[in-house]
Amino acid sequence: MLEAKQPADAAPSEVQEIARDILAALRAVKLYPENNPVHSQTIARTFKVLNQYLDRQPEYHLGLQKAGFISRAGRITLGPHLSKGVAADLFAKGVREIAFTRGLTESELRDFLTVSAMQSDELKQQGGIAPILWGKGVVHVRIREAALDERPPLDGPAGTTPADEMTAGLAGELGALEGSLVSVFGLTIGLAELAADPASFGKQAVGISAGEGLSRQEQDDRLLEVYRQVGQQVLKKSYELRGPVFSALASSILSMDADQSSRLVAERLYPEADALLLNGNAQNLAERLPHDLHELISSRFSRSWTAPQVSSLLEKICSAEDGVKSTGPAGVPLPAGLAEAVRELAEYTPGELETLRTICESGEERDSLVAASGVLMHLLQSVQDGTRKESQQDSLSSFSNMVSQLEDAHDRLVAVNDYAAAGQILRAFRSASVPLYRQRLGEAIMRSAERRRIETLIARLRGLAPGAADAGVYLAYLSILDRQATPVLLEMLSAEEDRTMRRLLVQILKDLGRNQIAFLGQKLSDERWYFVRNIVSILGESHREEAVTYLAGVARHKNFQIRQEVVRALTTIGGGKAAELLVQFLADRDIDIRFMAIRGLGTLASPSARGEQALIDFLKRRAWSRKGDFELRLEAIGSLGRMGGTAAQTVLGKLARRTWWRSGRQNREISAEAARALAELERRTHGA
Amino acid sequence: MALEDQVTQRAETRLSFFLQQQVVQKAKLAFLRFMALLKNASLYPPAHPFLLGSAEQLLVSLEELFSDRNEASFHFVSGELFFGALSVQIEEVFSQGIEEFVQRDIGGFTYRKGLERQEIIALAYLLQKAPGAASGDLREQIQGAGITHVTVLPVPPRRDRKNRAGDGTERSARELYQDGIETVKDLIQSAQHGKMPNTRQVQMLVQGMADSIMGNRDALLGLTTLKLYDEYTFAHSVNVSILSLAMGTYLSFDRPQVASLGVAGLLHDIGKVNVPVEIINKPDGLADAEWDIVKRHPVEGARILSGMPGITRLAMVAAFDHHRQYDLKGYPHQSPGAQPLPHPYSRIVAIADAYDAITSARVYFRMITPPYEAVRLLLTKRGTIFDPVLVKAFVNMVGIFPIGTLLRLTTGEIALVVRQTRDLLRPSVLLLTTFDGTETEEVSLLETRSGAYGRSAVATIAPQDANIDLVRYFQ
Repeated sequence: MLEAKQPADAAPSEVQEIARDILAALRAVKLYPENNPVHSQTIARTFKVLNQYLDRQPEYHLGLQKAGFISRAGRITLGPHLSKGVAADLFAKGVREIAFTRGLTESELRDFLTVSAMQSDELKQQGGIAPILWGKGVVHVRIREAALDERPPLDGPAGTTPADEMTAGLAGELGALEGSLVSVFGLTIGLAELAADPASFGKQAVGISAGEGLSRQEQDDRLLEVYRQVGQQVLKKSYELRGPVFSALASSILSMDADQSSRLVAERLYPEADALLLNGNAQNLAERLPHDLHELISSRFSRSWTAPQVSSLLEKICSAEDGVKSTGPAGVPLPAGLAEAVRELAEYTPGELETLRTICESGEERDSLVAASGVLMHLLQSVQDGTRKESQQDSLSSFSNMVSQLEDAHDRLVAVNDYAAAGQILRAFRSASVPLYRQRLGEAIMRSAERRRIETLIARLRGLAPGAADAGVYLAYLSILDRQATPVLLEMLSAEEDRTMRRLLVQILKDLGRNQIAFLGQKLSDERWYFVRNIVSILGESHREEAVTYLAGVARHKNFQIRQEVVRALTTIGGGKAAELLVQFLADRDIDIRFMAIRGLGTLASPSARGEQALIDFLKRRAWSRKGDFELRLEAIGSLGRMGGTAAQTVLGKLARRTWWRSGRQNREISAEAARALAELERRTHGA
Repeated sequence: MALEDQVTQRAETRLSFFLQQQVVQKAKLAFLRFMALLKNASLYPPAHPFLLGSAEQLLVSLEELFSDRNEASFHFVSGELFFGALSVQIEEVFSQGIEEFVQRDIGGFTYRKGLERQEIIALAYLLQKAPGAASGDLREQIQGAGITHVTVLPVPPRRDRKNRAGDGTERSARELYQDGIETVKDLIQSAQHGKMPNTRQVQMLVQGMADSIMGNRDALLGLTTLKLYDEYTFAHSVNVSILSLAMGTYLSFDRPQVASLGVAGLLHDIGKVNVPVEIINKPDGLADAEWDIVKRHPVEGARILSGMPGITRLAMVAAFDHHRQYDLKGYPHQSPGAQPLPHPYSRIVAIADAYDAITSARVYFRMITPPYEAVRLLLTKRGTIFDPVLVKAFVNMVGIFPIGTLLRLTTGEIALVVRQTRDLLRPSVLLLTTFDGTETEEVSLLETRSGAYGRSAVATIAPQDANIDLVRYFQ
């Protein structure tokens, strides 16, 4: 272990100079990138001087204080402007001593300098400077870090039930024990005396077990044997007195020196009792490896036994037959077939080698992130299930910590383009089953839906070849973000000028929008006409009738492009409600919109009676003086042909006949169009 | 540095485990072809097609080995064949050949790139024509024959446990082990008090143990077998960590991976601090509801470790996973569709956990179970509780007769296993003659006499039954 001393005098100039070079190298590595000549030259120079020193001395040592450096050879009296910043930085990173030892290579020095220049957060995540250097195989730079000497507070002495309490409880039984004797290793012991003063019996027992030349294990064996002999005799001769006697024996054990007591209980009594349990239950216990009893055994960290527990153990052990058998020095012969079994183990098949190869690649960043995320997601649920007894504050704090780790994992997975795994984490963020935790999870979701993250994802999506499998992964990720992503995507669409990109965004929004009708509908009140138009288009592509309710809210929008888009949307959606709204557009002030509405009515997938009547009324209108009215009339006739029924048939029939009050050309055109429409109508109705 | 120590240089072991096994297979094939060539040289004249064919085959094998190195060195060490630092298992029938080489002070051969067929053939004839010639004479003859791409190596000095090289700064395995126990105690106490444990201490310990294992796996591994501790509850975590570290080095994990695995092994049971004391210390068997509480420890452990910065995430994963079982029928149960296979580190820790539990039972319960019983039990649960491939690797790593096992040999001698070889039934052993810890001569059960193995194990002996204090042999 490195130890720092406080020297009184300044270190020799050679030591000082080397310290100066090391500090200069630390600064250079931090300030200059690897490809900068200053970076590599400084390292090379520092290595040269250090190596020269180490040729003569086994070690070059530097100790760290907050404001500077010290050395075993003396004080380092470098100017504060040079040393203080570096020292403070390393001190904050937990470094207390650095020792370069003979055999140092330039690559090890470089690793040390590079790792020392890392950010504190990153160092903390990887466990600190020393572990990272160890991981790189740096053996000639030894770092002593802070906190290595910290020890937790010691546990209190092994829990005991004070002998007084026990003997008080036994007071009543003393009379019954009077006159009862047992023989142990040639000594006669009165049970009443034992019960009256268990501590003394304990000392006596320890004295009996001690023996010249006996190992500690042998002494402990004898000590157990003392208690076993007492217990067995009591069970045999004075069974009815076993209660107070075993209680007294337990008390005597617990009143022993803590170490002795601990060994007797933990290493003798429990194992014997466990062995009885095991032998009686071997079949069931062998189902699982390690067996359940082992889980119990390896959990016994506490030394707080109670007298009733120890008493019970003793009685159990004394009741059992003497168990430990010996094979003797001849040993256990090897079973037949062992050689054959071993032969099969000798070589790995190609399949096994391949499996091992995969296993050897595990433990990398992505793999550990995915594994850890899986566990954290399970823990999130377990916190919400509330199976653990803890305060709400502790529970929230744990929960928040887990979510933070998952956020970090999510970000790292996104950084390596693993949106599938990152999507799993997002799903977990959406799984709040208890309101108490919803806010924290909501924060996590909002963070994931930040604009720059979605922009990155969209950029990746855009870079994919058509039909690439990854596209599905990205889209699935966006769909998990759901309405947290939509506003961002809409904003991106509003600002995007590139047509290809716009198409992509629109497609994504259409996929997302199918399940977000109400959410999108609420956004129709936005002031930006292009924003609203985009939403109208997306609502149209949803093919959902419920969107019509929201579209009605912008049917009279002052911006004709929006009204146009509404007509398109209604045409796409189809159905009765859409037709109802489309009819309103027959009176729109913009002729193109009227035209679109008429055409739209004619192309609705499920024709509507209301639509048919509206077109008929439109045709019957007397005032046809506005520009474009004639073309509108023709379109209306055409639409009736495509969607009309009996009423339309009558109207079309009349129109197909020439009338004297219309001009020749218009007459002919109207008649002709009506005839075509009629023919189409009849084809539809007869064909159906 | 003695040749034997050179054999243990890290050059080959830096390869991934996968590549190592491939190299071992290639080396074995090359050696077998070399022996076939020698046999043919004793039967046929130089121009015979069989001889030419076998020389060509050997050359092909050597060329494959030369694909990523300029030299291919085969060493014979205590009856074992090594290619570089990698042990190559060969059948007993070839051991006689090695025995004969060693008797002639031929400790191996180095072949160099540029080797030609006529050189190999010339070498084979030289070895046949002068069966009694010592390697010194042989070297002269090789030089005289114009064989420039083959070097005959001398036999390395016999392995002596007292003369192992070291720079004196390594901590002894026992010191490390005891540090491990103290670290686990500190961890438990911190966790019990709800305080943040000293994670740096954990890392330093694991790194120290990893360094020890990477330098000499046997010492620390031997301590896990000997069960030389007072408090099994704490030692169990240390044992699992050591076994996990040993697996990591056996599989040629890189250093950070090894360290993560070691930490995962050390902390896998930390969740047990939250099991109520009254359940743990209950003298009688537990009720089902009480077992359910005990079985929460993986989730508890994961939860504790999730709040420990500076500890590898994989420790949390292993704590959570280590009872889930390979067939996913363990605990904790996860919702359908959310059951990935336990992480490989978890699977390694699970095997180490079970192995230590079974082998500790011998000491803890004073049960008469032979050491290979643990291996047998692991093998029966392959594919269900344990990953089958990892179990196989684990058994190859730890051996059928783990280090520290006492064997009775066919010669009537009693021997202590001190090192595994490639043949699981033939470890290197210390012959115990004085039983006072002074014995230093190590022999390999691979060594042959007149073509047959000189010694074989016939029985295992419990140390307490033989009244042998094994501590003396593992200081």
